[in-house]
Amino acid sequence: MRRSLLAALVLLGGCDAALPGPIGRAGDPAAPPRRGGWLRLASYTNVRTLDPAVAFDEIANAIEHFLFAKLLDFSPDGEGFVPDLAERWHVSDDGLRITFHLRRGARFHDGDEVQARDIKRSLERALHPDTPCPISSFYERIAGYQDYVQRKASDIAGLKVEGDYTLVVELSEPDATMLSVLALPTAAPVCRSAGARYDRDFSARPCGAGPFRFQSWEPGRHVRVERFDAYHEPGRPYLDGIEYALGVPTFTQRFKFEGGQLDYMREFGEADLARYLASPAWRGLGSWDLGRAVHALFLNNEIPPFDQRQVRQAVAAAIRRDQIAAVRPGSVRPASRILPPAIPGHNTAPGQRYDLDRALALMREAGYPYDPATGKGGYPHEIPYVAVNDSFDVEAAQILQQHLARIGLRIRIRAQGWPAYLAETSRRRTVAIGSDGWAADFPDPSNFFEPLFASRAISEEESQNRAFYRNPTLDALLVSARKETDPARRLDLYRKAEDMVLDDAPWAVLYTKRWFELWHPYVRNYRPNPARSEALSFAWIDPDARAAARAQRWAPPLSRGRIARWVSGGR
Amino acid sequence: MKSGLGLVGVLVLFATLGPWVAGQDPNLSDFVRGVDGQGLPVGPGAAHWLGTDGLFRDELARLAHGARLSLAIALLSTVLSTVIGGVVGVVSGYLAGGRWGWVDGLLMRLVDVMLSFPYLLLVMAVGAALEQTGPGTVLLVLGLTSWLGTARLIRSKTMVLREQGYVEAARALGQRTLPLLLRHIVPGVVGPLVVVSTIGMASMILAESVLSYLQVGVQPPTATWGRMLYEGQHGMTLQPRLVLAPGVAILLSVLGFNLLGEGLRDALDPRQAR
Repeated sequence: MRRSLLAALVLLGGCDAALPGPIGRAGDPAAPPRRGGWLRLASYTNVRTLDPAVAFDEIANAIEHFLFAKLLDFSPDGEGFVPDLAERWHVSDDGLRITFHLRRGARFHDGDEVQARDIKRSLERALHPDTPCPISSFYERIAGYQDYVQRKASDIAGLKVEGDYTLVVELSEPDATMLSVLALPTAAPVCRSAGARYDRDFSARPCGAGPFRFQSWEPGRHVRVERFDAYHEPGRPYLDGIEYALGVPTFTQRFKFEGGQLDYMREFGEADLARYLASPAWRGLGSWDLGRAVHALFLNNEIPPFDQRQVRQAVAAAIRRDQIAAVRPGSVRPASRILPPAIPGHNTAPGQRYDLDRALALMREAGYPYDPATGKGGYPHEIPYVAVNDSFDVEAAQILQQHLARIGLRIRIRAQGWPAYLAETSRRRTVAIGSDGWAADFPDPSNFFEPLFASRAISEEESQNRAFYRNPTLDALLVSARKETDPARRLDLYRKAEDMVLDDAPWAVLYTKRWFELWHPYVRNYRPNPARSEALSFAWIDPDARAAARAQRWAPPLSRGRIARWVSGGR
Repeated sequence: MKSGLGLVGVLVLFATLGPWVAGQDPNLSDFVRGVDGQGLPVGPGAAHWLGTDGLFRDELARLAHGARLSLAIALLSTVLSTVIGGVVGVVSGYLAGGRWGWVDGLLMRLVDVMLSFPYLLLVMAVGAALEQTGPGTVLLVLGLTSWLGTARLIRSKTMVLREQGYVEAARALGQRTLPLLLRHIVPGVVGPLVVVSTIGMASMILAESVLSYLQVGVQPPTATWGRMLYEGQHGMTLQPRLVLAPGVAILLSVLGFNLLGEGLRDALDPRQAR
């Protein structure tokens, strides 16, 4: 009895003596790339579809970048674009005409050449009214879009094919985000065999012009892609293939990563992340992404007491963002502005500031004076606060609850499942306050302001503007920013918009979350792309470093790696 | 029996006096003394006897307030399920096979149907239907879904009792049904009821923990043991004490009620004494 108790204690408490170090050493960065080897990635989530016209979750997105070539891609240094299928492009002075010159000889995985008409066909396939494309409206300023989606026209007039290698995109009004949205996989050309209309079956055999071709997909298990030898960049990619394992719990991922069965990892449990960051063996390896997502609480502008500007401002001033971040040191960082660090236009100057006296004064002005000494006064009713179950939101809410109590606002937390949360918070005059957030679809400030704070984003149901915030001045500002073709002036307009929103406080901004990416040093030539995760298409593997380190690593008969391998039935 | 009584006594004492002894607000984060040099929750020490949890709240205070709530929910839902189970069992058992036998049939088929549901699924469904979950909901849900076994047991006990000579004599003397049930049947089923409900307390404590762990129970920041278990699991490899504290509390209280229940059974039913 005593012995088994001891064993149990060891299992619970003492299992964390040493963290295995990285496999292989960083090689000469100038070394010529070597071909061969499979790269293995994993995620705890599953993929529902691999059709670029309809998929929009993060993991499917990462896989689509392996399978599909786009006209152009986001630059890995975070600013502007790099060529992909288009060798070069030209935006007319009035901003209404973008001309793409395609490279010759680029091939689809089934052998056909990629031509301008394929790009037009694929975009029309994605934007067709029968295609359940979640981001169709991103392309609404292509001339002829409206007629096409209302079935008044059989094609999109603004997509003009001029010969085999020139595509002209004509816009109904200037739109500075058009290049960004054309760099998304949604706009990527699909093989001619996919046809001109969306078809569910395409997802089972996706075919594009990307660096890797589809090999297999076992739903809930893995997706495998293999090198496309006729890829349009000679010699690339270097890897034989990529295996993306699906539905792998984070702790299993860690064991597999330690055992060298995963080459790259980003889904860490909080405790595991802390251990890797503290481990001397891993020092200097891996990298934080800049943060593409911002988290906040929304204050419904149509429900008392948050219909009063002073109360909203008081909430924004009552929150100690540093305390929320203290609960998750590392991955969660305090934020006081809307645009997160990876987004152009991000401003490092403080935005919404903690100031308890000011918050109390604002509550007084709003008619709800609160005396912190006696605890008397404040808003007389308890307000339900909606958060998403099983997320950091719930923990943040419990800290917020303490902050808001100090200015006389009592909130009661209601943790909801994701579907219920979405349905309730997006319904008009339903939820007064709750957690909110946004992750960039593409690195551009418009992608934050237009869906979140424009009057246009308000609807009776499924409103993306959960604060139901309506400000005609902001609306006008956003329209002129969208049309502005000078990048610097455009960012200035968004800075103005940001200050306006922060002051009106439909959101109290809370924190940004960033990911830590870690890979074994034998994975070479990987440079994290600020616009998306797992941009690993052109990485290569040093086979000697991988093999040598594997032989060296002594594994005790019951190592955790072995147990994990056994449990997961892995190779 | 003695160790069971001892454990239950300690538990009751902890639930009643604990919050007062801990002396801290279970829902208040202490960002000054509750955080260690690395930014992690502090371990056991002078400021926080059992350390702080992931949100830097006093672990002992949460454990004590959790004991109060977990125990109160378990007690009240057990009372509810015992009353329902007892009434259904006595009525059903007394009417079985007679002119009103269809009532018994109806009640027992209802029990069969409810028993064939996976218990947790049923509880979660009721919780979801009521939408808002609080201590009251959990209590009702647990009480309304756990009387089935009690009803069956009491029914069979009643069927035995009703054939006893003294019951038949009372009936022959013209005693009306209700007083007969109260005077001659109910006293005979009180013993088993006490035993069943004591052991039921243990399963209620467990069920409440499971519900809170699955986050369909009491809403945060309210502390219950199951909720604390859920919150502690994220940092389990770094700070196992946050899982151990509520885990041990659940273990000991379930053990206590089970031992007590078994002891009571031996004491109340001498023929089965071992």
